[in-house]
Amino acid sequence: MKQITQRKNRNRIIASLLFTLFLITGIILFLSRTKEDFGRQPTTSVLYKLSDIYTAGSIFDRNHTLIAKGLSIGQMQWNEDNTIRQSFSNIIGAPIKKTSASCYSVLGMAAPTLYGYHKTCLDDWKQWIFPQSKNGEPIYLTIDVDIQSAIYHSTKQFDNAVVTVSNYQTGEILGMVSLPTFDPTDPDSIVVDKNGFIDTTYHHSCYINKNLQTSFLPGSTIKPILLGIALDINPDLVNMTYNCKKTTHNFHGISVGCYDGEYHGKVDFESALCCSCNGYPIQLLSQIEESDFEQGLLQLGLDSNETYPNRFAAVGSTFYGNGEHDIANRTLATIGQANCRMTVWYLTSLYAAIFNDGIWKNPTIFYNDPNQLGKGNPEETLIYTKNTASILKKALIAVTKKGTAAVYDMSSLGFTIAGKTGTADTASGKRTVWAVAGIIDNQKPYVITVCLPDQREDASGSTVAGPVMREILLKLLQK
Amino acid sequence: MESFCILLLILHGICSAKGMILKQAIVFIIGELCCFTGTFLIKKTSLDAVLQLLMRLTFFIQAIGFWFQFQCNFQQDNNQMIEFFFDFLINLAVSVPVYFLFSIGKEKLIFWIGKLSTFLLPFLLLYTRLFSHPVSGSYIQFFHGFLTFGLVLFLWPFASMFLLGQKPGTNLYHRFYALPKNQFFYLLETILLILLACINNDFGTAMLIGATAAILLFIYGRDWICKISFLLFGILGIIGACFISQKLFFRFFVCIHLKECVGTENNYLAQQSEALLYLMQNINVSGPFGAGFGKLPRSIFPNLDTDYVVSAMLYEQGIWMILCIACLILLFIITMLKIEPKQKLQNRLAFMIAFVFAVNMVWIYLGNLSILPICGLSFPFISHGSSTNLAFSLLLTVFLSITNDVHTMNKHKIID
Repeated sequence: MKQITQRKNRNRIIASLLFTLFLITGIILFLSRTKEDFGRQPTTSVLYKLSDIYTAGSIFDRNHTLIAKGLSIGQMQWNEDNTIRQSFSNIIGAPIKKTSASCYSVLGMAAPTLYGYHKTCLDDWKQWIFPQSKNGEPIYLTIDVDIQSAIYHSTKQFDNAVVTVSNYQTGEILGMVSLPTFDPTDPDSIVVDKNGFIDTTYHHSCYINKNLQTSFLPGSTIKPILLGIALDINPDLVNMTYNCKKTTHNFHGISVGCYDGEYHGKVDFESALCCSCNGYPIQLLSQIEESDFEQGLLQLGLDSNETYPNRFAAVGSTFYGNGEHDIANRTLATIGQANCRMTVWYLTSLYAAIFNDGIWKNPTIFYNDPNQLGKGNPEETLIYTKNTASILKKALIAVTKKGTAAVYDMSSLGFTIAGKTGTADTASGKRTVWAVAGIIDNQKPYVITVCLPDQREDASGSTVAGPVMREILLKLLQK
Repeated sequence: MESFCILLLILHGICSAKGMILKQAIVFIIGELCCFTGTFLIKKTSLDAVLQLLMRLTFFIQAIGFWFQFQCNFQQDNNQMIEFFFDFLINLAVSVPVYFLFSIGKEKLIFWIGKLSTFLLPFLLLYTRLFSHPVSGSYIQFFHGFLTFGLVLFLWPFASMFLLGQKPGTNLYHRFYALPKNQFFYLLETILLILLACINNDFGTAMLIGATAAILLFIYGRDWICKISFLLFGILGIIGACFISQKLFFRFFVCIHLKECVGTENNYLAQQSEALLYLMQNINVSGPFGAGFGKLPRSIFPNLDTDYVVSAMLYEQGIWMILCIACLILLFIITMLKIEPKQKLQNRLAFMIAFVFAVNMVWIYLGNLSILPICGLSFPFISHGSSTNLAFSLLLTVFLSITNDVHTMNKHKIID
């Protein structure tokens, strides 16, 4: 009898122990998960709370020039230089509590560091239980103040301009200007709606960084990107020729003319890019299967909801977008029209891959540790074969030598530039003009994209964006 | 001590709530005072010290229930708080006659309810499937606001008691499976009920039955083959239910692969993982004492006052609060398991009732920390739910009735 009682007691003890074990294991598992990195991206509401608790840390450029620093909770002190202040205003972003999409601004992307959030409760438990200081930590932007100022001065005459400069070997962003800007030190310059949020479309979207947050029709600048997909599938297509004349510009019932109604006669791969012939890429891409082409688009990150590691965010770029995957959309998107839309940063990064032997580098805009500057993000993706990248680079060099981008040829200064211009007609009747340039030089491995939206109907990449690009290149090369 | 804690809860509730609605505040204070009086009155009764502790713990949990429901509803102009208070009063009112009924009826009554429950439960689930309207795709409604889950909660311990309390005997497969006859029938009943619950899309019932059966038979199994096979059957039942429902499978998937679910293109997965992510972020931002009263957004935690009670407390009151709740749960479970009636049927019933409480509390707790999937179980006396809280009240009343009876008998024997 005693044995039976003991056995029953043992059963109940086992049951109690089992439940205790479940609970303790569960709590330990939960707490261990809080230490993992993937939980460190704060949501907007958490950011609001953070900005109420912490004084933001300091923001430096890559040369350790102070751009802005937290003065008190919700208050920032900015560099006294007006150019620096204006050019960085929408890159660093409007105050967190006045924007509902701060993830595209430096304040949002770097919030875990700027607001001391990257430390978990278990890493710093004394601070967690007995909070003493509520100051964030500094960050170091990859942007160079001198490059930023040079871009700002070259483009400030435009009402609407977007420029990105990036290092194609490291993926670091060296300059990013989105015009118009605002004065972050002037409280009256920030106009808010009835909910207390900035209007992202106000005054040509002056409060947002359009490099990351707005996509534009890319015009002809998309052609080398798409031709790269075709060459990766079938390298022999580089030998294809096309006779550009009035009778050959009808593709599956869709008539597509070249720029300003010109016809280029017989063109090959290089000469087609030089004169920006619209018929050639459409004809070449029609040689490959739709499924292979769409696979290539995905590999380039077009029409995909790709997210970027290392606290970086940008809106997606599209080829088909929400439109049908039919021949009409494909034909028009091949020349950068229809639903083909690119952010300036993303187009820059794809060109950077061409100049970097087909290797796409993950982007970086800031570091927590200044010793990381210049090293770049180790994560990379091969999006073109080396052979394809080499063919495209050679053709793009030819475009600046004798093609539409000749206006910013820098051979007189001893530098080889590869480039492409683009012109896109928008639904409003205005044009978006582009110029892309890559400096083929190991000391200055820069890729620059100039995008000027809302231009007149007679504007083109060569005539409007080209000179701006030339001015920026001169400043960068003479630096 | 409990009274002191309840007083603290009242003070915390009043001090933390800004912009509270008067009628809800009144209901909150009356509810807390009822619990306060309850714990005070218990000291005057002649119950055993363990039973006293159990009842005090119950009142304390009920007080936390009032405090929690108050913080869920204090900014909303609805009658949910008042409903919770009336449920509490009804539960008290129903519990008194049930207590005396079971005290008088003793083992015979328990046996007959057990027998009835064994046959009634499958028909009950079939009735719900055939005649009720689905709620969010699940056939769980028995009658108006009353859910089948509440009935299962009440009847399942009786059915288990009836089947496992029978003489073991041998069955056809005994040689192969070392399975006594009573446990063989118990297994059949368990499988039948889990299948019917799955047909109803009522995965709370499937989880409750699967989990209690698995742990119970793991403990009471005749030998290790029996113990392990039952445990596996229970776990397979739970996993099988997860595979039947895509919703449940996704929730299970989130528990295992949280990292992969964060930011995924699947909206449901992303939404489910967002809740845990939100909690983890909050712990780091707002410190161990939480974000404050009524701060948890309902957009992320839609069933704040039912499924996500622990999450809400973790977010709003911090990790200390849920560590206290964990201690309270363990104290409650251990106290229940400590009471062991001598009569076999009563013993089994007391054990099963303790298990039903334990499974609900522990599952909700771990589900809220995303270690287990959320599947419609309910935290006794804290979650909002008329039928489930009534079932819990009745179960506790039966538990107190049978254990007090045993205690009194033992006491008389000692005196003799």
